[in-house]
Amino acid sequence: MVTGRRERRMAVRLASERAAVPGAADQEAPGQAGWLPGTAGPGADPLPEDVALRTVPAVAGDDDDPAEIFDDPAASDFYADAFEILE
Amino acid sequence: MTGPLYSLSRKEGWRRYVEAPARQRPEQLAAGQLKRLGDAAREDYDEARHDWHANFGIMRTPQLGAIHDELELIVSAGRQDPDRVRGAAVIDALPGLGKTTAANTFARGFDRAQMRRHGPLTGEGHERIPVFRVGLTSNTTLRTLNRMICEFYGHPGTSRASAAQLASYALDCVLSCQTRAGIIDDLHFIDPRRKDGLDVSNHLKWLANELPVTFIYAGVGLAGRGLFAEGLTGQSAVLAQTGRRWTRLELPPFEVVSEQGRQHWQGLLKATERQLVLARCRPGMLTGLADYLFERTSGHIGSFITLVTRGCFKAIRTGEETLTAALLDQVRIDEASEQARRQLAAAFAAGRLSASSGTRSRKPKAAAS
Repeated sequence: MVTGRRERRMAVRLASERAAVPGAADQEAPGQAGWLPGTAGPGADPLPEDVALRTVPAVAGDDDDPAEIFDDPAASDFYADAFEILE
Repeated sequence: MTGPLYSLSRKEGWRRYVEAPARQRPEQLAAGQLKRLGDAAREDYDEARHDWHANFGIMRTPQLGAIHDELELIVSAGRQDPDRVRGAAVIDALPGLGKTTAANTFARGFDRAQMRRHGPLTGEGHERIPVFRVGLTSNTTLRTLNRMICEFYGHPGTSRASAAQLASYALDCVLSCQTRAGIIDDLHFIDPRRKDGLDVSNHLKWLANELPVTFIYAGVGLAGRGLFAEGLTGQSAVLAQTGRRWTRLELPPFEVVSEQGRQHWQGLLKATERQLVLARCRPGMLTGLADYLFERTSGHIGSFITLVTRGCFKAIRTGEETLTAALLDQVRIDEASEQARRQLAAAFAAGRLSASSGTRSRKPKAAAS
């Protein structure tokens, strides 16, 4: 709960900043002027979400080979009729 | 190799076996992660996988489950007072089908239950040893059998005692330690048609009468050796008495003639596959080789485990990190399986056999005239 005058001013400022961030539905509209300072607008560079995805460090190796990526066996029912293992 | 070495023919080794915690499965790494390991880390990881593949848990196959159920019944019902005769169980099967494993895993569970229920010491303060286990040798005599039992308990007077004294010591050990079950493995070393074999056979009967324990025997082709001889007369009539007291339990190999048999084979392959730690292991890696694996092992679980363990070793050493027919073709196993392979291969090739569940073996096409 906001009680003091100073806190109320801060809440209003934060709310107005949030309102300036484009919503997901609006991002497809060309020429939209809702981008935060320091970010690229549509049509020029990738969307901010794409930029964020590209900041994930690339990991080289065979893990990138789709043929090596398989579902967790425990998660599927492929082994449902496998025999129990005695401890 | 890692881990302590011990023998199940000594109480210390048996206790270690009973109380050993389940092994920890090494972490599953993908091929890329494997490449990024340093030399030392890779060596440690591969060693851990070799150990694991040679020792991953015992699979409760339908055969093993049935034997455990029967043993549970026979041992648990064997509560007769010492003045009454109690029955014994005999696991009689071909080599490589898991007789020893069946006896040991059952006795391990029985031992754990007894210790949990009654504690590690008897009321008189003796060490509680719920199970003893001995393995016979090719020249087991009456004296050596008694000595083996005493040596299991670590009795100090085993070296200079006579057969009768050793029998007395064995009785003391069993009574003091409140032993309830005894495993005598490799019973096929006793030949009841020979004089010393008949003596040992008679002595087993004496032990069963005098020791208040339920015996679990295991051996190869015991029925064929006459240990259960029925209808014998004269000097060998004592064997007929043995046949009346022992319950014979069979441990059949896997078969792929029936749909149920094929399902069991698939269950074994899936349970095994799930245990393997190979970087390129895939669901279906072994079930896709169902025919090939049956052809190689004749459905004998001992041969199958040997093939998989050696195959995994080779897959890790060569960097293939998966089991394929080409890789397994480079692995030799027991001679009996190798000899049976040709016949089975012909049957699979002709369509007379299939190890895949949900398929039906087809009749071979008639030769074109």
